[in-house]
Amino acid sequence: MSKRILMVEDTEDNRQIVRDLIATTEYELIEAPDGAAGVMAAAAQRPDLILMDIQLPVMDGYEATRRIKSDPALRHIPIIAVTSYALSGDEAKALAAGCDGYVAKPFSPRQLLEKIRELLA
Amino acid sequence: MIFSASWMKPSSVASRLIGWVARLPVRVQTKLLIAFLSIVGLLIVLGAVGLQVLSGVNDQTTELIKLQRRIAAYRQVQHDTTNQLYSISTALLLQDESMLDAALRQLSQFGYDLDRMEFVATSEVGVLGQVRLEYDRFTAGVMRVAQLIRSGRTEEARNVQLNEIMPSADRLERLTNQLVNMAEADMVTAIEVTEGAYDTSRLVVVSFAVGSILLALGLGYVISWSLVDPVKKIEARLRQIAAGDFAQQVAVGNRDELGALADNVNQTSAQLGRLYLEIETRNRELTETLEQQMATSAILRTIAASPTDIQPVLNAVAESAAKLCDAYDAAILLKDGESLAIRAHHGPIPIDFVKWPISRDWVAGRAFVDRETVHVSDLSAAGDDFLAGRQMAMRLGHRTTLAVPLLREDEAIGSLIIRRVEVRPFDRKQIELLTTFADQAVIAIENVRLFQEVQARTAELARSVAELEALGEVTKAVNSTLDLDTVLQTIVAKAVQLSDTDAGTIYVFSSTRQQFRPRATYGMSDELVAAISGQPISLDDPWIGDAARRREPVQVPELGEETPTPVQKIIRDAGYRGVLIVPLLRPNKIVGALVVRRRKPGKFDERVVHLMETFAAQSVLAIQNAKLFREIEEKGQELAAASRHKSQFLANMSHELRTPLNSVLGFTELLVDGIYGELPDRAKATVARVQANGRHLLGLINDVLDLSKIEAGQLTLAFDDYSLGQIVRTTAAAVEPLAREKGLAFTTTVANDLPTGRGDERRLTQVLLNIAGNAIKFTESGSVDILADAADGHFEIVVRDTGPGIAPKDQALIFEEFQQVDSSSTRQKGGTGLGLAISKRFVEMHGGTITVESVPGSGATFRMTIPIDAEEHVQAA
Repeated sequence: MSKRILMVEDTEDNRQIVRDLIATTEYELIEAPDGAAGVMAAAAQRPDLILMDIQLPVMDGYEATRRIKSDPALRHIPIIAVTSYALSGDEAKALAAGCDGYVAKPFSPRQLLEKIRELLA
Repeated sequence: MIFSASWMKPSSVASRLIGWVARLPVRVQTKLLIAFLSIVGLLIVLGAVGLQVLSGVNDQTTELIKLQRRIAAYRQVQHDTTNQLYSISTALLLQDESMLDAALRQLSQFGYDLDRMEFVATSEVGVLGQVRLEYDRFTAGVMRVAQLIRSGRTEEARNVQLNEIMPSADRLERLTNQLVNMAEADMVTAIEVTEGAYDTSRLVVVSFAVGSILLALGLGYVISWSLVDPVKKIEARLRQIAAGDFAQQVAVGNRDELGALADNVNQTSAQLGRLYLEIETRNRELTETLEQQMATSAILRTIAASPTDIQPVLNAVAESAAKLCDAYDAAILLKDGESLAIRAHHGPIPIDFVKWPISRDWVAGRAFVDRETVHVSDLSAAGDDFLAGRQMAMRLGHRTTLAVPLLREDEAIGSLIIRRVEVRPFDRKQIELLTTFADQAVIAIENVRLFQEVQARTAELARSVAELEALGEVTKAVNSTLDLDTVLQTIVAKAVQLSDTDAGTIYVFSSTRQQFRPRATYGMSDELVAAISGQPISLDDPWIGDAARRREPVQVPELGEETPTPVQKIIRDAGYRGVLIVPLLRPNKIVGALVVRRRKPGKFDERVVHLMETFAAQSVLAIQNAKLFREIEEKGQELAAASRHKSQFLANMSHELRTPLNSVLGFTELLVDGIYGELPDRAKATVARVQANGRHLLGLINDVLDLSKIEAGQLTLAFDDYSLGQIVRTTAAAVEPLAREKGLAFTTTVANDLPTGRGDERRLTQVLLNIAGNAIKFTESGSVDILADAADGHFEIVVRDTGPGIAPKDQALIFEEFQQVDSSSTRQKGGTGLGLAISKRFVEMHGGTITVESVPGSGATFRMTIPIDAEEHVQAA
């Protein structure tokens, strides 16, 4: 069974890029448009990896990450923060919230895929 | 004493004798020996005499025995004669031959006895001769009788016997009797003589014995007295010495040990007397010295005790000088204009002037003028050169006068004079002493002068310090407090305190209302403040308005003399008399006025006016400062808000720009990667340009963001261990393709064994990437080289290119934001113009430097020096 990736992202263009990117791979993509939906999708779908935007409506990515990481059943799922918060300390903040990786926007789809493969290997 | 108690005083004769014995030039032992020997001699003589007497008695006894023997012999002769006669008579009678022979033998025996007697008793030789004669006759008769008998002639024999022998026998008997009588008479005489001699000798012996005893007693007496008397005298002398009388001599005639002892006592006494005198002299000297020292120390104490007042010291000096120089009085005169004025006097001699003109006509004057000691033994008899002095002496009664000048650094400031009413010149020591006292007086005067000077200066300094401190406080208040009221309050308080006034007010002039209003007050009751606040003061006011218009201080020494304005009336009624008004001015502008008031009337001195002007200037400054501060503060707040807005805007912009850029770059990459199918070549090239521009835009955004973060102080470095070799390799990997693309030779030279550095590896990589990227970007042909080395605790990274180079005037500019060497060329090359500025900031944040050396046309060399073990330098710019 192919590995499933949950993408929590509010911008349609970004979702499209990742959707198009993942479509070329063996992975399956699940999408959530905001933090709350992301947390629910994670609980319901149990993905193998989560791509988490930070600036999200309803619930931001930090909070969503914290919630997922506080659930023992979901704690093991690696989370890659994908954010345009490029200010220094953002990466540290994301890691502090429980993220396992960090990719700054604008990201190179090629590099993002490399990161995904690295964590799912 | 024992001697006097048991011995009577000797008589005059005895005294002479005792004196004689005492004067004998022999030792006491010798004297005693002589006395002893005398007594012994006498005893020997006594013994000799006794012996002599004994021997005399013995002789007498012998004589008596002799006499006795003689008497016995005589009696024997007598007896023999009788016997002879009897025998012969018998023989004749009997005619017996044998009896006759016996009678004849007896007769010859008698002859022997007679011989012996003649030998013994020479004195009776005459009688004995007669006896011998008779004996011979008798013998002859007997012989004849004997013969007659033998011849038978008896008758005849009888006749003969009767006629011759018998009478002869009678005569012989008589003679022998006579001898016996004579011997007995001799015996009696001898016994008498013996008895007389015995009496004489007893008398002699007794006399000698008594004489010896008397001699012994006499000698003992004399010798004892010859000893006792000097001993008593010496003892008495010693008592005198003990009592301190060294002048007497003990007169002892003795020439013996006691004489020597007396001499010793006399010498000792003399020596003691001398020593005593010496000690007394020394003692006197010591006492004098002590007194002088005590006087000196008393003066010094006085000097120390009265540093401000000279009078007690001068009094003490005068008193000590009079006492210790043995003078009647002493006076200290100090220069007072052209005279010497009496400043201190001690003693009974009057002085009938307060000051006297300086001249050589009198003793103190001359000592002052000549700057030398002047000693006149009798001033009343002095010559005309002491005209005034002599008159003084006649008038006041002094004679011997001594004056020494008071000299301060060779300059006379007065005289010290001592006087006596009799002619008795002062000795050397007293003159020296007086000089010492003069010195002390000078020291005291000098001391007081210096003390007063120091005090004056200290007071002046203290005032200056107080003023400076006050000004300092005011300045501090002006500079540190934005609250104008606090500043003005400080100023007016200090102004009142330093001007020695009682109250003060700072008025501020409102140019819109054309009025002075009190803004700060000091030393005034709330009622008074309220009262004057209710009385606005215009420019027409005769005091404050006047001072402001004339632009100079105005003072009112006595409010009571002026016609008061309503405000002045309030002030005057509150008890203030003197007022000083100093206007607060700016060029062409009236700011206000500083007013100080005091309850005591009188003019304010120049110093106070000047000080108040300073305070006024400070007040102006404060008012102006406050205004400026207010403006600056407002501006600052605006600026801070703007800055906050800018930072927020940049952060937002960054985020907002990234989101669409993410789409642009993401889709472009997907296109380029053929996710959406293979693109036609033209489209590929176009998409590549879109991608390149997109990346450039991202670079721009990142640079702007970095710079704004640096400016806002928000960018912090992430310090960690790093390898410079790794930084160079990362950079080379990134830029090498570009260099290869342009056909440039690209080399990196990293020194071996570079130490591990400490710093922000990402930012340093960013810096090197920027510089190396620029080098490749601007170099069209030739080479770009990166060299990395370490020395003196620093890494040195050099990027050398063979590009167009940078003109000297531009070399400093390239590190500033938004600066590029040649806008036309950079426009071709792209770039934000922020890279070097950011690089410089990053290097400086590591405590390093970045420089460029370049000759236009010959390439450029960028040199970075970064501490190996860097510490973060937060405020880099």
